[in-house]
Amino acid sequence: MDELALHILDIVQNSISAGAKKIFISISFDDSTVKMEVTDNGCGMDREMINKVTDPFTTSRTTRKVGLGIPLLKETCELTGGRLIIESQKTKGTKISASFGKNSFDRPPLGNMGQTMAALISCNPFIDFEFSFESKDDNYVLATNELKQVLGDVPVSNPQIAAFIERDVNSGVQSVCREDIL
Amino acid sequence: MKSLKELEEIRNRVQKQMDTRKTGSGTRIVVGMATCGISAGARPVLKAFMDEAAARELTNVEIGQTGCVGLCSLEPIVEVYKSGDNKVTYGKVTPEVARRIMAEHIVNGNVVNEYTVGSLEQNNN
Repeated sequence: MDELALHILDIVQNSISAGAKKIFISISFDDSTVKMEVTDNGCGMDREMINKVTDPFTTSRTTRKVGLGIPLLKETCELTGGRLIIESQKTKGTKISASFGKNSFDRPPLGNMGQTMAALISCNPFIDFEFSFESKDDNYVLATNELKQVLGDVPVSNPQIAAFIERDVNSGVQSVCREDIL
Repeated sequence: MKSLKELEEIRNRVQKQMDTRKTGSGTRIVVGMATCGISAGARPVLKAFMDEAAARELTNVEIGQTGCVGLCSLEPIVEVYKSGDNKVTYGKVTPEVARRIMAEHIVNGNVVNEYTVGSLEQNNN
């Protein structure tokens, strides 16, 4: 995956499959580290499963025996000197925290986070998403429940709303961060 | 959210379109969004469908996502369900192909045969 935003699109699919109704995505950075967190209220995992999910030959799918989303993310984290931490409680939810060395040559750029959020929100209109992007002294937040309040009877999955989400997130991210983590 | 005012304007515009275009049977477009699909370029394909639907003001087209359908080497994969027709599965879809599918298949009713998984698999053999 050549963007952090694509890794997010990918691992959030796990939250969706876990039946989450609320998914928080947060990205923050300082001079040395980029942090990315995905927190959901899905079905969670027991200890045995948590220990196994970083193994590519573990998946909850029944159609085949490999799952590469988490192992790929873990590899990227560790290549840049960061790490991947998974916390989860059965029936309560899961939190995935990934950190990356900001100045590492192997860290993918943030990429098109607007397109990732637009894809997630419009394909999953019944899930509440919240995205936050934070630097030391500024932040940007987009929450679907706020969007829905404004939209009324217009569905959040409408393609013209997707285009709006992409624009708003990308300009929000750019206003918080003029550096080249993007 | 940065541009609340812009969102309100879009809402008002879409509301008008919804009022005038309530008729017509629905079509569902589903893009494979598992790890294999995403790394093969599913996100810009999904965006191409959304942009086309927005530009053509189609309100009876639903665009969604699915997981891995087991044909990873043919990703990005797109399934089209038109009411009354059989499901059509496309493989190796690029944003350009997505725009063709939208124009030729969704709007005009002609399947883009060279990109169906059936014909892609035949050409591989």
